[in-house]
Amino acid sequence: MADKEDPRRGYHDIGGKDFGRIDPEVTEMKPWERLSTAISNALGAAGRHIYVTDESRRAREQMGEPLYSDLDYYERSTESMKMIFVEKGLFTEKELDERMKLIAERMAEIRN
Amino acid sequence: MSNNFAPGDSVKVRQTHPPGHRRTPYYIRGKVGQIERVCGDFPNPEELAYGFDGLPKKTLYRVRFRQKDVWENYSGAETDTVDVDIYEHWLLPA
Repeated sequence: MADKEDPRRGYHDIGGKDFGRIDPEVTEMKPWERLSTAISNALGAAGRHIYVTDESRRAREQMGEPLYSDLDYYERSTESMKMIFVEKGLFTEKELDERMKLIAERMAEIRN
Repeated sequence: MSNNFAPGDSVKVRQTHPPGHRRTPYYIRGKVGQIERVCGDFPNPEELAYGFDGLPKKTLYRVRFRQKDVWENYSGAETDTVDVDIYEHWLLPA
């Protein structure tokens, strides 16, 4: 249907836009996607209650359209979780980067 | 919490676009429908989204719209409807 572009419409708020047919294919979750979901559940409303679904949705709407469009479903949920935890002071971006670097180095050692 | 609307009441969704996390989809704003049911009272997700407790709770309604009232040039059946869950603060009497 004709949808006049409205700058007040959030990039996530796409109900009714024409994206063609939906692909009903069911895909297997990758191991990291399962892990990310498990961490999210453990720290979310059903677990430690460090954050709630609505915060995670808000983060998706706040990460900016370029990043949002670039990420797939589980990448978005993981990025949102990270944004909220940084916002709440659980860790800093710098601490996360350092930790990721350390893990990458360790994994490289294991492979060698 | 008192319910301002009852099943069968006509309501108009607020045609407003405040910034922030909003639970009412763009496509349904400004449209007129009928209350299908009162879903209950829930912490306000528009507040929960920013780390607040969402209290006082807000009443959530299921509102039924005719598809031809929602979409321009809708070509489906006259009787087609769409149900949208909408919080009370987004609804006006119509």
